[in-house]
Order: sequence, then structure tokens, then C-alpha cells
Amino acid sequence: MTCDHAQQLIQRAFVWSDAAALQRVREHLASCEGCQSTYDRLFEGQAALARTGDGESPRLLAGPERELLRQLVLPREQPSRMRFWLPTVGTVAAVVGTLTAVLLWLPSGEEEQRSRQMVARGAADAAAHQAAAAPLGIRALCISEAGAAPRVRSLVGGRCNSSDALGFTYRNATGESWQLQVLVVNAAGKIVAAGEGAQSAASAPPTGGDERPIGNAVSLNRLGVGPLAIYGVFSRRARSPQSLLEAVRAGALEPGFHGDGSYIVRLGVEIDGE
Amino acid sequence: MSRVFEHYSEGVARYLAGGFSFQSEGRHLRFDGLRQRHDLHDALAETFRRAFEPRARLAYEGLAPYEGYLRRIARNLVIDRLRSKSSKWTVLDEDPQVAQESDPTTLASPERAYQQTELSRLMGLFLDTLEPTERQFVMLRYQQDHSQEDVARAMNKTRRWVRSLEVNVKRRLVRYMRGSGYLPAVEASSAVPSGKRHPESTA
Repeated sequence: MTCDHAQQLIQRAFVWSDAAALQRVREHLASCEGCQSTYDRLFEGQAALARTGDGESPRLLAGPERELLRQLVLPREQPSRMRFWLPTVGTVAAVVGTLTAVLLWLPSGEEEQRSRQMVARGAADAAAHQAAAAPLGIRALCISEAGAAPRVRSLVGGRCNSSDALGFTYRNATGESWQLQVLVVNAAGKIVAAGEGAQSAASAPPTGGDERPIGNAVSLNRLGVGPLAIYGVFSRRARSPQSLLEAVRAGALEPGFHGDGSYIVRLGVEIDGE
Repeated sequence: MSRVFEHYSEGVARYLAGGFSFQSEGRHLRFDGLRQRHDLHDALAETFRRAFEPRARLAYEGLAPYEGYLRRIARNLVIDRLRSKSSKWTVLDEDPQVAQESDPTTLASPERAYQQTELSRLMGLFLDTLEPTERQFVMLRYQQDHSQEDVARAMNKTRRWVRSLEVNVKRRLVRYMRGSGYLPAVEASSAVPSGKRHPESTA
């Protein structure tokens, strides 16, 4: 891990109380004095903020700091960074009519596993997840095109049929404009939909917390069955298809904030046959 | 277990940060305490992980105060690490006269005293940059140590609103510390988009 990446994770752990980020950077911290210094100063500063008041007994650990550590000790009890939305959370005006769906916001590794466990146990609390919802995100939807009226199905379990189309909504509650590009990548690492043409989805999401549909849907019938990875790339300036392609090939589209100011979301969808 | 952590973590953290004396191979030794946050966090988390293991939970007989039991675990953890050759922890002071715990929130050396004074001054200046609503949040959440839910109730807002405000205050704190030179300026400052603001933040 580079110091640049470690600094990002430290900052993420601090700002978002993200125990998973802290877990990922621990090994690096053990061997890097520079990053240790950043870590120490950030949390020491926060603790000093807690001591600025007239409290009768200054605490050593600031409240948010203690909560972060609690997540580290008891990860399954404190899934505060889960990015799941239950169907009860949002009714989304999408491309077609009313729908309910599950936001598949799949961070990697332990966080993903924990998220799955949470949902499997039925312990996810809709309000809590709404509260924890990140300001930027995309949601993937299965759109059944059979019959006269298209029907949008929930993506529970992350599965669509090969006869479906894949639709998307996005969320931007940052108060700022972002460029959003969506890439659909197959199991071979090839971008099968993105960038330009009828299956692209590049737009400048307006601000505001509501979810909005992204206009174009991806027909799945030509993509075959199997897993698809969907990347939502939020950035200040739209990236060229070539640079995105290179990033996919290099495996550089890791979910989360990146040093260039972009924010990447990754979803997983399994395409079933008829 | 969450409530146990919430209740005892501050006391155990103080114990780890304040240091303690112990005997080893016939010598009186003193562990000076963990001054660095990452060491403190690491040891605190490991102490509670050990305490929450089934074997450790069964071993607690329920008669003696639980904090004492946690302290023993923390103490054994520290001593184990000190004995490890790869340990980078604080060296021992062999003076038995100092075999008493120190308060980790007080100052251990002139250098540390200066650092903490400077940091307090810096945080005071940071508070001055906040809006009244944000200052109220800092008072409730940081100085009075309320949970996000309690802060939301006190401010007549939702928890989501409070969480969003907390993220924004922390982000501004990072920027402020970088701008003041307290934190080194690194590329990672762009790791979180700097412009995201809480709806009521105007600064």
C-alpha cells in the first residue's frame, strides 16, 4: 500500500468513522511513521476539540473516536457504513413508474460480507440505513421488457434475467454537480456498455438528495449469462472512455474516494438465463 | 457488548495512556503509557477483542469489578508486546519512585505541554470559524459526549441530519488542520471532495 492510498484511508476512517477503512490501513500504519503521524494528529485534534469546552472531566476519547473503535471491536454490531437500502426506504420514480428496489452498494471484502450477513439476518433497519446513506450513489434495476408495460423489478440478491434490461438511478446529495459515467464490465474484464452510444450513461447529475433515473438502459440479451460489475464513476470532469478502459484493465476502479477527486461505486449483478 | 464497550472504553483507554508499574524478573519497571493515538487505538481494540472472546467472558467470575478485569487484560497485552522484540512501544523507566499512574489528559513533558497548548489554541480558533449551529453540535457531540441520536433530539433534527453535519464538521476540521500546518499537506487531501457541505453550512 502506498502512503497516498493510506492517507486516503486514514482520512476516510476519520471523516466517515469507517472502521473498514481503518482495518485496511492498520498494517501500513504499523510500519510507516509518516502515516502514523497523520493518524495521530487527526485523532488528537478531534480529542482536543472535545476538550475545548467547560466539561468537568475532559475525556481522553472523543465520542466519534470511541464509536469508530467500537465498530473495530464489534463489526457485526455496528455496520454503520452499510450502503443497503431496503425496499421500504425509497420509492423511486424511475424510467417507468413506481418501483422498489434494493441499492446494491457493494464495497469490497469484509464490508461486503458483513452487508450480506446483515441482510441475511434481516437485521437491517431501514431508517438507520437511510441515515447512513452516502451522498453519492447509483442503483441498478432490472427492467422486464416483456409485455406492453415494462416492469421494474427489485434487484434483491443482485440477479437479473438475460431478457431484462438493466436500468440505473443515481443519487447526489452533495450539493454540488458531478459528472457521472457508468460502466458495465463482464467477467472477462471487458467493458460491455459505457461511454458512448445508446448504452452509455454520462450526465451531470443535479444536486439534491432524490434519486433520479439515468436515461438509457442496457439490454442484457446480448451479454449472455454470468456476473457483471457496474461502476459508477463520479468526477468533476468526465473521463475519456480510453482512460476508463485503462482503469478497468488495471483494476484501479476501487470503490471509494480517489486521489484525483473522483468517487467510484461498484455494484454486482448476476445475469441468469431464461 | 456494545454497551460494555461504551461504558468501559474510556477507563481502559486512560489506563493504557497513563501507564502503570509492574515487576519483571525481580526489577521494578514502569510502562510510561501510550501517547500516540494509533498505539492507543490498537491496544484498546485488542484489549476488548480479547475480553469479548468466549473464553475470557467465561473466565470472568463476576465478583471483582469488571474494569479491573479489563485492566488486567490490557496490562498483559502491553507486557506481551513489550517483551516482543519487534515492539516499538514506549521504553520502560526503571525508577520505582514513579510507580504511580499518571493522568493521560495532563501533561507529561514540556514538549507535550507545548503541543497540547498549541492544539487547544488551534481548536479554539477552529471553533470560531463554525456557524452557531455547528458550534452547538460540537458542544453536544464532542464536549458533552452525546450520541448522534441524543444530539438529534436536542437539536430537533433527524439523526441523518446530525450524521451529515458531523461528516462536514470533521471534513472542515481536516482542512483547517492542513491549512494551519498542523497536518502535513498531502495529495490525500483530495481523497474526500472538499466542497461537500452540509445544507446549513455556509462557511
